[in-house]
Amino acid sequence: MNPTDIEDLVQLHAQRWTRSQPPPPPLDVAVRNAQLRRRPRIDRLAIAACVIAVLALAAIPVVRTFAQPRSASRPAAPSPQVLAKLTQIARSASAENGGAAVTAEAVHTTYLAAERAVLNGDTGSNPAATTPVWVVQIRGDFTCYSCRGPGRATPTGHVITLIVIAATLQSSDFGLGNQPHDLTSLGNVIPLNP
Amino acid sequence: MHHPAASTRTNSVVSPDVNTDDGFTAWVAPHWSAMANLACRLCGRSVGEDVLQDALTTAWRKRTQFDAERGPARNWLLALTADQARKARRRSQRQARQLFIDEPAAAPAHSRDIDLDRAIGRLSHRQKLAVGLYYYLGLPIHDVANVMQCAEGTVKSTLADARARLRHELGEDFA
Repeated sequence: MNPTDIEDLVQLHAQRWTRSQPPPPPLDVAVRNAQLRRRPRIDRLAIAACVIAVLALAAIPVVRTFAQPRSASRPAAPSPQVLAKLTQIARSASAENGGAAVTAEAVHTTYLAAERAVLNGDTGSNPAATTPVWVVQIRGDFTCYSCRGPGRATPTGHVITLIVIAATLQSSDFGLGNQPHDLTSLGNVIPLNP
Repeated sequence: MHHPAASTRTNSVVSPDVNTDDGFTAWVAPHWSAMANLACRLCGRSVGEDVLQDALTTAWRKRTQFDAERGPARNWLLALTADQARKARRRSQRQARQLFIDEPAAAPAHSRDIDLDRAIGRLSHRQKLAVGLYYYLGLPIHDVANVMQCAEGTVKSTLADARARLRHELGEDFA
């Protein structure tokens, strides 16, 4: 086969093909369709805008939940059982550290807020940041006998700070210092009766 | 290489007011058949109708972007058609190819036409476009280059490659 042959073949085929072609669809109809076809684009944009608006409206309660003060998430008032347990925890902590509690108070907050406010950052305990906790602060004269170690003095202090997981009422973190923390920054402070 | 004798050329007809329905229709009308034929050549009959409509929709939307200094309206409309065909093939390449093979653009008179149609269907998109524009629509090399937005030499080499591929595809059957 030489180049002319294939060219002749294609040209012959093209002529037959062109003659056999049906007329194209009516142009005026196609033009109207072309103009109408722009509507779906607008509709899609409108739908997208509506979806975004609905999502934004749906997100408002979520945003409000996250934006509200931590104190607002606490229960309206702890039950007597919870109060009794927190009081017991305060008494136990005082006794274990060689002192008697003069005052004790508790506040409901999240673990992250408690960690930042009273424990000076990471404590090594790893509850989730949003875990509800009670911060219990006990004032008195304390000595942490369990903190003794070779070559160092036994820590003493006037303030015991505990973080208690609200769901289990188990203590997760312990601190002993001399300066009390302002628990009102975390929420409504509830006095305990140690 | 000579130009197909069957070519029919239409000069650019620029309507003074393409923003109206009638003006746009009159502006496209001389090239409507060429657009339809190119869409059919590139994608087959059924897909080609959608491609044709898409090309016209694009032309309507972009009609103010047409620049007569860059080429006649026919070339611009054919380029839009080729672009829509390319997009259609990307969307469903296997389906488009299958349609082209199963549904030759015209009912072939004999088996040689079937073979040629199938062989053309196996060309690359640009080869198929060059063959369609040059042989089936009868455009001169200069206009084919204008539609494909490449140099004339590139068109010539693309056509040469396409012919070589067709020879290879047809092989002994053609001889």
